[in-house]
Formats: sequence, structure tokens, C-alpha cells
Amino acid sequence: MNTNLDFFFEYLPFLIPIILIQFGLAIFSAIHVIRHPHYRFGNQVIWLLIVLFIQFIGPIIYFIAGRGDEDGR
Amino acid sequence: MSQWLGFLKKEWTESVKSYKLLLTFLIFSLIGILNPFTAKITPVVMEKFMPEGTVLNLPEPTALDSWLQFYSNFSQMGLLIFILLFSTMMSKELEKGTLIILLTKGLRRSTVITTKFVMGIVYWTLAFLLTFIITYCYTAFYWDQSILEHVFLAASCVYVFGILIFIVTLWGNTYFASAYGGLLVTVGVVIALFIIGIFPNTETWNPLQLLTAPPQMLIGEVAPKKLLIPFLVTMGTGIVFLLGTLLHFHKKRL
Repeated sequence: MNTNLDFFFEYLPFLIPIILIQFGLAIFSAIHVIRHPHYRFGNQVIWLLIVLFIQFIGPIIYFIAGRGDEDGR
Repeated sequence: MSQWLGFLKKEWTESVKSYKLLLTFLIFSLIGILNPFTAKITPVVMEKFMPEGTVLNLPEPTALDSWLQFYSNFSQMGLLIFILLFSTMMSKELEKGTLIILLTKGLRRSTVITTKFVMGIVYWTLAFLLTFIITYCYTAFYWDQSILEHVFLAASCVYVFGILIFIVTLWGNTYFASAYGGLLVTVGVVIALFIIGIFPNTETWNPLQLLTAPPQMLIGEVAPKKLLIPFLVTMGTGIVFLLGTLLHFHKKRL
């Protein structure tokens, strides 16, 4: 147990920013998916699943390819 | 000049509103953190997942491993994501026809290209600096970096290559006026560079050297002098493509 804790603390400087960025991005994109219900393809449920469960790549795909324009196209 | 600055401001606002600033910030800081992280954790993971009894003599990771991760992550995944983000710069406006109004009101055509170019360079610089500084800090914190040579010079090679790739994308994007056109041209150019690289004696001038030589430069196997000609060729090609974009856009029917 002690070794596991040491192991954990050794990697803490990496883990904190990585976790913060990944969760922040996932939550931010989920809010964006809900508040802007216009997509180039797919629907809200699909995009929510992609954004929340595909770490890091999901939100990028959403913002590059899936996000529709404001006028609903 | 005020027109130029005004259009630059419009480009900036557009990139912020389309979440490009946010994405660039998050993606490239994550890549920066992942470089030293992967280098540090790989031996540990290998040991955990090997079957019992396997004796592995993995050397302790060094600063070099961290920088090798930088050159494989940043110059492949980083560059790819950057090009994906900025590959629709021209085509979006050309497809929607939003430029026509501005151009008939007297906006100079060269202004459009130069501001988009400057904006791309600003973002590429931001992306590069973020990844580089974060990787540098972590590496300096965990390992001794004095074993490496030319850390800054080697990294700047990747930066210069990225500028060339961005200009090529901008040209393809303007020429074919579609998002896929720009991407296809870029992929074509990179493949062409790899094919050129197969032939002997091309490594003296091939711009791809700026991507493949830096890891060897870190351990002192390649002298910085050898990269001078690839560097000049890259710069020259970049300027030619930029001028080509300007000339083409001057005559383009919108």
C-alpha cells in the first residue's frame, strides 16, 4: 500500500493537469452540445456520448467536425 | 494599415469565437504534459504488464526520452491537429461568400491572405511555445538536461517545418476553395517529401530533414550546419507558396 501511495505522489505533478484538462474539456463540450443543438451530422445523444466517453479526442472531433453554425445548419 | 489591422482583428475574433484559441491552448498544453509523462511511465508500465518471470533490463528514462516523445508527438499529432484546425481558413469564407461584400467595399485582396497568414503563424507560435515550454519545464524538473546538445535549435527546426506546412495548406485551401482540397495538397506534399527522402543524397536539402534530424542533433550526431540548406530550402519554398497564394487570389473569381 505504501509503495502504491509513493507511486501516486511521484506522478501527481503530471496527473493533476492532465485530469483537469480532460475533465474540463469534456464538461465544457457537453455544455456546448446541450446549449447549441445544431450539428452538421448526428444528434445530441450521439455527440454527448462521444464528448463524454471518448477522452480528449471526442471533444476535438466535436469542435472541428460536428459543431454546427449558429444559424442552424 | 488600419484596414489591415481591422481585418486582423476580425480574424482574431473569429478564431476565438470558433473555439480555436481554447482548443489550441488545451490540446498543446496536454501534448506538452504527455511528453515527459510517457517517457517516465513507459518502463513502469512495461514491467507491470510483462508476464511473471520475464527479466527486463529497461534503462532508466533520461531527458532524451522525454524530448524524443516531444518530436514524435508534437511534430506528428500536434502538426496534424493544427492543420485540421486551420485548414478551413480560406475555404469557409469562399464557400459562404462572406468575402465578396468586403472586397467590393474596397478591401485589398492581399490583405485577406496576409492577415490569415499572420494569424496562422501567431497560433502556430503559441502552440509551439506552449508545448515546448511545458515539456522543457517538466524535463528540467525530473532529469538532467546537460547531456543534450542544441535543445532550442533542434526544436526550432520543427517550428520552421510547421510554418511551411501551414503555408502549403493555405495555398491549397485558396486554390481549391474547399476544406478537403487544402488537406489533400498538404498530405500530397508530405508524401512527396517522404518519397524524395528515399533517394540517396537528398538529405542535404530535403525540408523533411527538419523533422527527422532534430533527435539526432540532440545527441550530437548531426551538426547544426548540415541543416542550413534544408532550412533555406524550406524558407524559400514557403515564400514561393505564399507569393503563389497572393497571385492566385488576385485573379480568383469569387
